[in-house]
Amino acid sequence: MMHSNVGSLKTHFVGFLCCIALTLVAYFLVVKSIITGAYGALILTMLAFAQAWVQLSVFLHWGGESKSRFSFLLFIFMFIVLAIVFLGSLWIMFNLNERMMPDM
Amino acid sequence: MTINHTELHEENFRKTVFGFWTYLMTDCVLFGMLFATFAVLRDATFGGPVGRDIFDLNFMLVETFVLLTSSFLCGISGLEAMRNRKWGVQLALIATLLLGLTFVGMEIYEFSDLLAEGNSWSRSAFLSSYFTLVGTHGFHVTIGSLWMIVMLFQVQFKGLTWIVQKRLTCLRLFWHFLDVVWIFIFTFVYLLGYL
Repeated sequence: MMHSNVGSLKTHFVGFLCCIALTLVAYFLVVKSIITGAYGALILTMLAFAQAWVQLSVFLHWGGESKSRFSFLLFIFMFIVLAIVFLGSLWIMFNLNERMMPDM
Repeated sequence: MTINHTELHEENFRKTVFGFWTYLMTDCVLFGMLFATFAVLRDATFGGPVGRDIFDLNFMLVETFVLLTSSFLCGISGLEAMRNRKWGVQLALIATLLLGLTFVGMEIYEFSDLLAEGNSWSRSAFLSSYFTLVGTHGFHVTIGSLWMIVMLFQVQFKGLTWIVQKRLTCLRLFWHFLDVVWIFIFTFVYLLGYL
């Protein structure tokens, strides 16, 4: 069967509701100023990754052929490239910034 | 020697979807770069507005729910496609499309508001990177919407052939991917801009 991994209506609904919940939690944490600063940034980041994971699980099962080893390898490779360039850029730029002369 | 069409179709389907997934991975890297750029330039406001000054979080919340719901409905179209229900696919896709266009419309409204206030991409590096990141995402959604219109015609006039199903699968992957990227935009651009 070509499109075997489309999941079920139930998983879609549950995933959808989870995403709504995660979005609302993040939204209210910020709007009601419940969290601030670096700590707040960390919590929001975790919420974002949690929601991304929910969406990917529900949609990876939708996409068909999600169990392919090569697809998984591709994803890992993309993630590694992304991590290197993203974190590397941030590291370099902040380092450069520190080494610049202070504003008079 | 007989040709087993189903096997050929299966193999073609798998290869195409894998190829499209590869493209999506490159798109991830692209967005990752735009995020990195935004992260580095977010404080370079050059006397202009910061995130807090220009972001309307309530508006963004509605935009987020619009796109999220469209992604959900797109998934429904996948279920209908699997059950070979042509009308189900068409209805779900039309609903997806309408919400997607609403999202783009809201974004255009947001951008034109900023431009009207003089806060264009040339105002500061922060705004340059903001417009580039969010604009690129919006552009992707626009292209996806055009693709969806094309697919609606294909489903109507060709029916749910194996080729049309293959293309619909790629479209669904694309659409879901865009919502995943939006989660990160919503979090790192808008929410963190307020923190």
